[in-house]
Amino acid sequence: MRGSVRLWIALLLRRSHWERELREELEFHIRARADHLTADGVPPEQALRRARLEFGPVERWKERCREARGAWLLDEVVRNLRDAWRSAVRSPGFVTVAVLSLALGIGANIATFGLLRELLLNPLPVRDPEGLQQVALSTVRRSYYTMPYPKFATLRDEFPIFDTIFGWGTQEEVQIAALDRAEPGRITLVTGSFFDGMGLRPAMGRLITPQDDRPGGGANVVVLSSHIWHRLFNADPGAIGRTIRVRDLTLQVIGVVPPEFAGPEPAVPADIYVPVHAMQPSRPNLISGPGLMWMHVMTRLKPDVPVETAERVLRERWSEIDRVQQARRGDNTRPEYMILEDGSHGYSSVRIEFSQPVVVLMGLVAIVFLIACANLASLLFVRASRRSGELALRVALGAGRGAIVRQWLTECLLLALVGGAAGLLTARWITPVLLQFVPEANRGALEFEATPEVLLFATLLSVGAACLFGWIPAFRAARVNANDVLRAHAPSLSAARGRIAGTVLALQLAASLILVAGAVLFARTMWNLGKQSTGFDREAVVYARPQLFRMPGFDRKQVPTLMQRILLPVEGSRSFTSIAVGQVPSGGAGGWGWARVAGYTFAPGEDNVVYSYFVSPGFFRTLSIPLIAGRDFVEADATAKLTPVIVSEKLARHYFSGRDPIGAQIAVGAAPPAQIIGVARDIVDVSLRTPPNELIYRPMSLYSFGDILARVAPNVDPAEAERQLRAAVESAAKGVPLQTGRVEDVIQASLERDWLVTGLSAALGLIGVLLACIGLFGAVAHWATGRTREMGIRMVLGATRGQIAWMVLRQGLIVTGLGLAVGLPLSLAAATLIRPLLFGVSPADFLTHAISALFLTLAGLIAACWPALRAASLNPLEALRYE
Amino acid sequence: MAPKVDLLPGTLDLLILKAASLGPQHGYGVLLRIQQITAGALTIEQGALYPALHRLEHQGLLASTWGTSENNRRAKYYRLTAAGRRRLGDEAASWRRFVDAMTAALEAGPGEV
Repeated sequence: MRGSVRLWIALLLRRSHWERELREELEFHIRARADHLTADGVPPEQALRRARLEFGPVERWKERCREARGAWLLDEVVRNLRDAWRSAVRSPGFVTVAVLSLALGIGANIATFGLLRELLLNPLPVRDPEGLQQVALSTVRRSYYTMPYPKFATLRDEFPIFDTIFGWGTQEEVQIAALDRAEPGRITLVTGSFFDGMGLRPAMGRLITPQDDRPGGGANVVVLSSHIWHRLFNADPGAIGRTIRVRDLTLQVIGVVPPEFAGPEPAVPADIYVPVHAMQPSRPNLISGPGLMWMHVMTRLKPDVPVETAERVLRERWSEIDRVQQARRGDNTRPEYMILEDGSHGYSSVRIEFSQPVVVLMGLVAIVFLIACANLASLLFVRASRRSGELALRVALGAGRGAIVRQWLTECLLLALVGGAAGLLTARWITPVLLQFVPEANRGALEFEATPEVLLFATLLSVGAACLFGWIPAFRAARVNANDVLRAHAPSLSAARGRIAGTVLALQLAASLILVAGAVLFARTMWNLGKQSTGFDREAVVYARPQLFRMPGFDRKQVPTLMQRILLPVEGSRSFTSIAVGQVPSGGAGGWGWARVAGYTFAPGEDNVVYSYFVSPGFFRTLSIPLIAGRDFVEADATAKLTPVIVSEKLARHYFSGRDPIGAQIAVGAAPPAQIIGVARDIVDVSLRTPPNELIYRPMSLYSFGDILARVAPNVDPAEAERQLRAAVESAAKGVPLQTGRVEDVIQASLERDWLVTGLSAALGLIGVLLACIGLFGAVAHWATGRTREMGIRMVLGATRGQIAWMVLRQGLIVTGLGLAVGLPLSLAAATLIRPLLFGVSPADFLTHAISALFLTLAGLIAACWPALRAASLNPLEALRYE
Repeated sequence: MAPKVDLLPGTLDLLILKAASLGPQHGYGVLLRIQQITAGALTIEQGALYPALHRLEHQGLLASTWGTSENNRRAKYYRLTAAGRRRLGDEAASWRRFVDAMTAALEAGPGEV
């Protein structure tokens, strides 16, 4: 490394040395000729002048000598860089605007790219992530990425084609307590071969093995994640062998995973890993429940087995097994298949949910980038025309056109690299803002990192930008005709330049229009979603979610008494008209299973998924969900031998079209058959975008574990009611982690993804319009300056200031109009691409595009305002004298 | 003096090599020599000499050293290398062939066609 630096220095020194010698050599010739002439009798100064004339253009000969010598690329590059730096320092205004534009454009791209990479592209940091396959349960309609343990056991035992097969499932948040500290965290239950299958090595201690996960009571051991090890044990190596307490389990720490492995689900950090069977005593149905879908399953195939073969074997053999099981169950539910999917990125619900919007986002950000580059191209045009005098001089002195182009490109590259560096800084600031829009649960370990990959991307963007905006002005600059420019006779030149600059500007405005139209479409989607009816009352209902299981010394048997203590004051309070316990609908928090109705035969491929909720009596009244048939639950229903259930309208129509469903029996999943006693109106239970699911409500006692829902009395402030509810819970169950709120907030939270897209597209739209307006402002100002003399003449001839101002404004409007003309069809086309993300508004919606066009026109007018005002305030005499 | 003739492209190199073969000289000296040996019949732009000199040096047909001139100024002297001498011989021979062919062609009478 030092050697090549020495070489550089040597080359630089040698080059300047050679240049000095060349100058000396040519000077010698001129002087020798002058001496000769003097000797012939010509007066000395005249002799010198004649000698110089006879010699010809010195610069050109020098240049030819340099070329004859062969390209000294390195030195030329260094010289160009130096010149570029000097000329940049001389025009700080231009540089500031240019760098700002680039910083915004490049920064936005880098931030989004980083987010995209984290969410979607990063493979798991395990051995050979490409060899991992996810096993998914598939029906004709869709795939399910979780399955019950018994199915996993079947896969493990009956399929030797898998080299290793393992599973995991992350449970809800709990308190993890070490000796003197406690941290909230989640347990990731893993099967014995999880770590071996992933191909991980411990950072410390050892990892869980199949020995630890034996049926009949696994070992009470735990593997810590790196961040929990830091937080609970201060990264103390002596943590191995110590114990931690989780719920009612005492677990011994046996090892720590490497810090770069954040868990099998990117963006959901895994905190601690516990063998599945360690939970068996306290939650036996995790292992034995045939309908509890909680496990993600992954496998590594044997090295010589291609994926297609494994998939075929899986599908065929599983169908056999399934057929046997169905025959044993004696039902005709439709068949299920097992399929394999790429597992190299781990499982990510975020990936699946966000991949579409993030791709759209990348498209929007790319448009912003292009606008920024276009801005720069325009700026450079203006700069080129201002420097045309200097350029013409250089050409006249003999500088080769190649050299001029190279110098221009160096300037552009320098600008672009500085802009790229500024973009990296901007990205660091933008990323936290972007993350605000990602739902908290999924934010995980995402943050801005200047990894080599990101830096490479930034460099590529900068160089790409330089190529985009630097090329055309460079070549135009090289084509300058010295004579024309020096004689200030260049109308054709500036006209041609004006045309190209105008086209670039129009394209910028068109691109901005696309961004604005997109933002408006997303905003209207949000509006429509907000107005969408959920089928239940979300305004007047507050909820409380006490996490009773987190109480120290928690015992399930205490729940009824606890809940009685909590609910007594609430039931008696005048602030609430109705109270129930259940689940806040929305977000799909219900369990699900496959339904069977006596006497109903399924068509092949027919979907029979139903979602179930446990609700107490009073649930429907509290949420104002009408019961269109039958009755509500009563307390006794919870313990009835033949469980009564209430079904949703859609389910009733599906299985009982026309007939009265009351009294019929329905079985879901592995649960025993239940009797229908009522039918409720459909509600939106997953998301406002999707149609309601078929629901089945099961009864539970009012004094059981769940969300407390309370309907606020008409004249009471919901915030005050919420406070009362919170107080009631806290006084009865001290120190319990408690979440309260309005049901409305839960609905809003489910729209987080949409808020992300809307917010970001609005921000990007504004940035795009801002950039385009900067460009428009510059172009109009330049245009106005070029016509200063003409305006002076007009004013002298009697034009009013208003007319002059209108001249400038009109120019701005013309360009904006051109941009709109190009932009409208483009934005209509682009809008169709985002159709899947829209709700309640068509991509070709007239109002949307009209508003966008109006907004852009207004922005264009504002941008052209200042040049117009300045033109109007010109002193006519000064204007006439303007060169 | 004979009427002035413009230099045919490519012949400048030949003239320079010939001038240098008469002894090491600096650029101005080469110019004077060329004017001498062509009896002033061929015109060249003075500065055009130098790219040619540098090119020939780059090609290895000339070698240069810095020395002091007659009036005690530093000057760069060019001399012919062995390769340059060989090139001079080859180029001169082919030039003579060219000239003979052209002369014969231009003096052909109508009867000889």
